[in-house]
Formats: sequence, structure tokens, C-alpha cells
Amino acid sequence: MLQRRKAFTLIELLVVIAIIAVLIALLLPAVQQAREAARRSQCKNNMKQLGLALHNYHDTMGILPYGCHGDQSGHSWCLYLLPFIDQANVYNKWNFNCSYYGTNQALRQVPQPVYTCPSDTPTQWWDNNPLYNYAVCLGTTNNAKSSPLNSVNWAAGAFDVVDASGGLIQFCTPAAPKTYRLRDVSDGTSNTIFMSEVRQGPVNQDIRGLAWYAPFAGFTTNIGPNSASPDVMGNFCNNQPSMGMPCVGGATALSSRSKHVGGVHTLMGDGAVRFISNNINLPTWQGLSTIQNGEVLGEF
Amino acid sequence: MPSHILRWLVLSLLGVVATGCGGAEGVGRQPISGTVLMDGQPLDKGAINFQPYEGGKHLVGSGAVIQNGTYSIPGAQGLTVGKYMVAISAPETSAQSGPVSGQSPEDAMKAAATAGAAKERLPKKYNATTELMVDVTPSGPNKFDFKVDSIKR
Repeated sequence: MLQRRKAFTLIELLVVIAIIAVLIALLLPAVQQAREAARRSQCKNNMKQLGLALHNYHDTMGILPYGCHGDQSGHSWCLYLLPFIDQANVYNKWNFNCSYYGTNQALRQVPQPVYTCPSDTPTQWWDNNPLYNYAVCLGTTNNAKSSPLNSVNWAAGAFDVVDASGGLIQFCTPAAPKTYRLRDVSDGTSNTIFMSEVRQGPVNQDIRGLAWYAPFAGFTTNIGPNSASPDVMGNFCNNQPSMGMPCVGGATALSSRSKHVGGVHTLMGDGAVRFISNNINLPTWQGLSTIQNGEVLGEF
Repeated sequence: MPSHILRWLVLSLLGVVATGCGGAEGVGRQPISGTVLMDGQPLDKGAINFQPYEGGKHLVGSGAVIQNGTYSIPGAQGLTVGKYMVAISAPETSAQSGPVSGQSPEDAMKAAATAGAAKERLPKKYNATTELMVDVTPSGPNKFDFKVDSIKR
């Protein structure tokens, strides 16, 4: 009698192949997600470094750096944090003559990877100035401190610059504006946003993300993170709602946006980096952005 | 292994893969859309913004750019159920989307810094201190149409 050879049947082979195919199909998207997860944690780490730099700046100077102000001198937090992110050489070469151009132009063109979130596509603005992804919190309405704006009253954030006249501050005026100290954050640094993400302008000459240029170094919380509600800019505004970057003309107000799915990284005053959902209760988001309003905030 | 057991194995595996993980929609945002007429004409360009009105509820804000009298917000970025205040602004359409031809970056930046004085065409009762209110319902259709009057000059 013929002895049957020991072997797999066709069906068994097919089943094994099917199972392997299914496993691969499950795994491949996971690999792509792992890439984005890696970029996202790099993004978060950069923001953490900036939080440490801010605290080191405060320890050294006793006050928070200028975040954002009305003129176009280039004196934003991007300049003042340089010595605290190991870029003191660039800082020492800076000419404090209040000019954005001249010898300062080349210094601005040095890319600073710590100011960039790898999840976003790196873009340069017109004069080869790299765009960046982090912005400091100014308050609840817009750069000009309009109150009320969309029925929301102005309340100052940690990087609002203050002077007697209110409104846009010109840095290079005889009466230099002043910034806040940590002890002014009476809402508590754990409940106050210092920094969040912004996106680089996706198309040519969209100025969003030009954080070195003082008027665009900050964001406000009038609208929520990654909102369909537009950013407001007087110039270089390219309305791209399909890319998640809507924009209309008007008095400057940038909002927090990121390329991460579901939310934005946000640096709190105590140095913690939290991932804040797009679905956050809007009054909570606005309450987190103020330093002295005494809101009672729920979970966020 | 008997072949009918194998068949069931393959089928059940396929079933598990096909169902996958169901996505929970979270806070239940509703799509919003509608039209805006200014002085009886479709508003050419502007912005609409929804701010929460009631406390104690989970209310996300939202908004949209108004183009040719219509606006629409997709469900993923829409509003949760509740009452919202509506602000409609229509700055004069002088905002530049880029430099004036021949302008240097420096001049353009200066212009961008001082821009923002664009005149608002609508009175404050439609935007800064708005009196417009909507109620977003779970059943929809959540279409909100507005008729506004510009500032008479």
C-alpha cells in the first residue's frame, strides 16, 4: 500500500497565508502611526525645552521675556530665549537697534530646530526666514486687546506686554513696556497656558508661523484649538479652510493650530506640557489663558 | 484538522478584522451651515463666530469664513448642543493677501504690522456686543440664516 507523504494540505497553507496577510495589513498602518507618534513626542519635547528655557530666563532676569508686541523689530521670545537653548552665539551677535533687517537678517535665517514641530511641513517665508511652530499666550481676544471681541472680554495672558496706554506696544519707544513675573500669575501656574502650537503658513507668503516677527509670536484663545473659525490678519492672509488654515482680514488674532490628530500641545506655566483636545470646553480654554481672572476650571 | 473547523476559523477571523474598532464621536459636534445677507445682498466676505452662552455645559466654539453669503462648518469642527452667541464681522475687503507688486519684504512687513485698521462694515450689535443667538439641537438641521444691516454712512 502506498504510504501517504507527510505534508501540509492546500487549505492549511492558504489559511496560514491569509493569517499572515491579515497581520501585515494590521501592522502597516501601525508603522505609519509610529512615525507620527515619534514626531509628536519630539514636538512635545521641544515645547518642554522651551518651558525650561522660559523658567531659566525668569530665574536669571526675574521677569518673563517679551513675548509679542506691536512693532516689527524682531524682539520676540524667539530672540530672548536663545541663550537658554544653547544659542548664545546668535544672541550675542544680535544688534539691538530695533531693526528687523540689516545684520540681524542673517541671524534670523539661522534655523532653530527647537522652535519647530516636526509634524508640520517646514516652510520659509519670503525673505528666507524659517517659520516656526510655537507661540506664547497673549490673552483672550486679539493682539490689539479689543474688548469685547465676539462678545468675549479681554483678559491678559502671561505674555501680554503692559503699559499705561493699552493697545499695541511699540518696543522701541522711550517708555519700554514691561512684562509679567511668575508671581503675577495668581490663577496658578499649573492652570495657566504659557505657550501652544501654531502652524506654519502652508502656501507661499502666508505669514502665520513667523514667530520671530513680534506681532506673530503670540496666539490668543478667542477661538478654540484647530477651530474652523478663521485666524485674523491684516496682510499675508491666505484663506485655506481645506488645509485647516482659514483666515480673514482684520486686526491680528492667531489661534492655536497643529497637525496632530485631535488637539494641540500646550505648555503650562509650571513647565508641564499637556495635550489639549480640540473638543475642550471653550470657556475652559479661555480661562486657562488668563493669569489673574480667578476662573474655576473643571477637567481639561 | 477537519476542513469545516478550518472554514469557521477563517470566517471568524475575517469577521473580527472587518468589524475593527468602532470610532466614538466624543462630544457630539453638529455640522452647522447657513446664509448671511447684508442689506438684502449676500455678504461677499466676512467671518462668523460662535461663542458659548450657557455655563455648566460642554460647549465648544466654532466659526467659519463667509463667502458669497454662505458659510458651513463640517461636523468634526461643528458645535455641541446648546446655546451660542453669534458674532458676524465684515471688514472692508481691503486686506492684502500678499505684497503690493514691487514692495520689498521690509516695507511689506511694516505694512503688515500697522494693518488691522480695516473698517468694520457691520455695527457692534452683530459682533463685539452681539445680540444674535442660536440654539444648536441634536436633531438638526442646524441651518442658521442671518439678515444684517450695515452701518449707514
